[in-house]
Amino acid sequence: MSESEVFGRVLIAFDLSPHSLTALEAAVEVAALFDAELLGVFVEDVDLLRLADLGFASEIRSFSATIQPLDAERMRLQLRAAAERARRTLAVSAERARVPWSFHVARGPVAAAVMEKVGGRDLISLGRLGWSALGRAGLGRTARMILGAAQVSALVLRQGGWAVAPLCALYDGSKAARRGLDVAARLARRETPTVVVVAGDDRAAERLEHEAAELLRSRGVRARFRRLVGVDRKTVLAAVRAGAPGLIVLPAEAGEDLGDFLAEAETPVLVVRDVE
Amino acid sequence: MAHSVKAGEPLAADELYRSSSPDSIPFATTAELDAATEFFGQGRALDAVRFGIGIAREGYNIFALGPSGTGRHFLVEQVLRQRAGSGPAPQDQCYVHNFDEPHRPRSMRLPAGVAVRFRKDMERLVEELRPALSAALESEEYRTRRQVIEEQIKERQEKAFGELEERAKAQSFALLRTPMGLVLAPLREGEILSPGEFQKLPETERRQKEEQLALLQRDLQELIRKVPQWEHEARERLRELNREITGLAFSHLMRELRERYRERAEIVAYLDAVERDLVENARNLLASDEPPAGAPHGASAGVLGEPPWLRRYRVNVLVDHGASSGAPVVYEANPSCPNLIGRVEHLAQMGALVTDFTLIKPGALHRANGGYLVLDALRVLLEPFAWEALKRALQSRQLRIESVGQLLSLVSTVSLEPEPVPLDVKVVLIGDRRLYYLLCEADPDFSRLFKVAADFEDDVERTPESEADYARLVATLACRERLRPFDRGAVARMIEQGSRAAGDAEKLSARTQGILDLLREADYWAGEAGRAAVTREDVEHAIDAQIARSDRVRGRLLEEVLRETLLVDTDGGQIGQVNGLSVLQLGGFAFGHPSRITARVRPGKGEIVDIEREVELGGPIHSKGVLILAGFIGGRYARERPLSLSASLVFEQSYGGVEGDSASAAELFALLSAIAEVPLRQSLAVTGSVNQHGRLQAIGGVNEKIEGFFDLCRARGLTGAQGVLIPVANVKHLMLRRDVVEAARAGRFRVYPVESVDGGMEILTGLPAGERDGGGGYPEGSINSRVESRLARLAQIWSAQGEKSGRKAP
Repeated sequence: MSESEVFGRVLIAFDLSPHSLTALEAAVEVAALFDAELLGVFVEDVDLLRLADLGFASEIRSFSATIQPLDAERMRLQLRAAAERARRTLAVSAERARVPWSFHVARGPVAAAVMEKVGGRDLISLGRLGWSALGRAGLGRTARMILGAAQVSALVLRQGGWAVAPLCALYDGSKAARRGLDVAARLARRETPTVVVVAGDDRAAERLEHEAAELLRSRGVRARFRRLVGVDRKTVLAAVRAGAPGLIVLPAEAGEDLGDFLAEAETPVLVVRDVE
Repeated sequence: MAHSVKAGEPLAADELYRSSSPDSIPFATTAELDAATEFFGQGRALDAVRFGIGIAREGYNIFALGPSGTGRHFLVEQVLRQRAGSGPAPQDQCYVHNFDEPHRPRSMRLPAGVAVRFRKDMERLVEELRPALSAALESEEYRTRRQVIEEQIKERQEKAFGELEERAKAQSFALLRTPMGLVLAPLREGEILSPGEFQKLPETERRQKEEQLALLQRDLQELIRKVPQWEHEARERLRELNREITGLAFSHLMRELRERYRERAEIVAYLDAVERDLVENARNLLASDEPPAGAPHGASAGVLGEPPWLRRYRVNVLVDHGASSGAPVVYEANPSCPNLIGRVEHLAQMGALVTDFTLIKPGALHRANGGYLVLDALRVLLEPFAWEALKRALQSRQLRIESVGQLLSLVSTVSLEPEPVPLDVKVVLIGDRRLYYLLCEADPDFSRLFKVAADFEDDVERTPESEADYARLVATLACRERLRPFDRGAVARMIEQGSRAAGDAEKLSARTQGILDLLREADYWAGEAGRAAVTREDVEHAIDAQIARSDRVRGRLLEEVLRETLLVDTDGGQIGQVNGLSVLQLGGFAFGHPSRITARVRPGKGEIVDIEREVELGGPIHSKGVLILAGFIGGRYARERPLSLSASLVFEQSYGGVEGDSASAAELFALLSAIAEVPLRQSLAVTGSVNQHGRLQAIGGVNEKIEGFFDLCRARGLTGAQGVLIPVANVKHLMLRRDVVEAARAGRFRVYPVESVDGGMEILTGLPAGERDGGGGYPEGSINSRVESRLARLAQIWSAQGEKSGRKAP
């Protein structure tokens, strides 16, 4: 697999929330590392536009706490201004990292609009919470919908910056896991990543560890290994979540919904899916 | 010496020079003597300086007055050092940051040597602050506690918004975020109602929805209003945590310092302030170079390689007496105002001038505080504002660092006002006498602040004891300057030169600078001659070389006389013409120069015209001398008839000013010669002043004057008839050059001591002066008879002319 083929594009769906700004930072860095194009998507939420048409709904300003009746025209202008700010923010970050970029404004339900833009080889970078749930931990409604519906690789982050090290990757021998290991090798750079080998028995674990070590060695990376033998997926995820202080590179099983795992994880998670 | 002189007869050669016998020198060379004394002849000044130093009262500062070269600096410094060495070292002086008033740095006086130790300790503290704080802030305890606070606030918000969201959800509303805030949207089956769908709802349900929405919005508004308060509370708790943790991080460092300086209350108080400040601003240690609130003036990224807010924990040691023994003795060669009282320096940064207490620089008064400060009075007075600043410091007994602008109240924007320092210093000003008396007269503060005058002597009595002291001085200076030893002949010649420098055979010059110069030069010539010890010849050589280096002008004047451009006769006789003598001082070299003085007379109303005065070339003293002549002539020759004479007197070929009365005797001789019509011997020259009774009085520069005429006579050929008439009172001043003395010894040049005008006229004319007989007249043929007769004739002529013209007799 050549470097340019790891991810087709890095898609950043952002709405200027603090989490999505962290996601932008990570998206730019990953795009630069994997020579991928950065695709920014801003969605004009039709729910907000629809709400503005109701006539009696009001907006409570987050800074002044004043109540203003919602007005459809003003809402459209607000969204357009927010989109322009998003475009500028993306442009500045991408230009600084010399990453090719494009920016699209879509209208519709946010999740659907984002899913429309994303392809199978793409990586989607998401803030764990959007604007829609002020002050709440966990995974936002939109993010959960996107991750559940779009079976693509995803980088999920919380507000406050992201850091790769110490990196922890899961390896179970699947295609997604091999791809995940390849991504981990690139991300690890000079760090020594931890590889958690997941297997049904010790023999398989040994084989998988050898396989993973070989794969990493071919990338010039040495790793520490841990084994999780004969445990179910839920336990595996719980163990990884509890023990990984940095980025988790997690191969997803086909059709697997990782919403709950992502909602509870305190660290950034890179979900890697197999690409047919 | 003078008592053996017989007026009118030439002096013997031995009377022209008072030798010092080498046999009286009780050592072979100066190497045999210990360095004993350098304070030759300055007993009075020495006592005054010792008194001034000893008396510890306000205003008893010292002014050492006297001519330069008398060893004022050396004596003052030696005495001060002797005194200072026995006292304890004064306190160190330093400045530290004032945390309450940053623009007023705090002064701290600490025992000798403590300031530097304290500065190093504070430097070490600053070095250790960062690692100590890093360790504290990276500790598990701090991180956990911080996280707990952050989680608590987050949880509080989440809980509040979660409850509201749940309540909204239960009433089929969704909480959505807009670019500017939050909205509550009515839901149906998880989807937001469109306007059309909403309108289709039954009226009661619509109204219920709207009421529910209004309540929820009100609650949401309340919630959003609380968020800043919660965040403020969280920040306050975090600050409290930071204070606690940083306090713990620094406490062991501070405890150690407090323990070390527990006996110094001012340091302990300062350390308390440092600790409080550190705790308040701890995060700056780990963050950027941004200054915290209340940082020193103009503070920003470190100009001196360190953030200014870190520099405020430094100690600026102005004066360190750690290595000092005794009180300081400071001589400030450049006593400008900032060099005296200190200054606050500034650094240019981004087009502005910035400063802080570390840029306070000490002045000489800081360095001398607790000891002695020596200054040149003239230099202090020449430096703008230095005198005022010095007086202000001495009067207030405080050392306040102020710029010139502040001193004059010209500048209202003050960058720093360092706390004043208590001042305890004894100031010694060194200056000449005129300056001292001027200050006494012109500055009323001066006498209050400088009560002790140490008056330095120019010369001392020449006695066997003082000669012995002088010899010891030569030995001491030769030893100090690492010169060759001086043999007894050289020392004797030095003593003789001491008298010549004093211009008096009965005195010795106390100007050690001149002595020292001659010693060094004699040593040089001894070296040139390859001698191990300096001999009389070397001293002679040095004296001759000094003269030779300086006598270009003298040579040129002599040359012009010899070429008869300047007319001075040295033989024959002339009526109304005499050789006067003057002294020219060029730099440090004085020489005599003969001038022709002439007088013309005619009938008149009794005026003697001083031509020099008429053309404003004569000074007041010279004019006074001329007027005395009129008094003498009138008193002696015109007691019973009017003085019907008009005379004019002039220094021929004199184009500069004439001052002094030392030519008044010569002028009188010329005038009497002109009146009596008797020629005067041109082979003789005259010096001396005269009083109204015709007595000759002492004048200055007698040696130079005699030598000046001698040089001319020698150049034309010494005949034995040549010589100089001097007042008897000047005989004791004679220390003539060796060649003059030798010529006198050979009878080829003579020096006549003269007591009165009559004696002088007899020598100059070869005629008797004559004394009044019982009839009141002078003997026929005598000088006085001729003068009186001529004056009578002039009176008759004048009277006859007056009758013709109808003029009344005077």
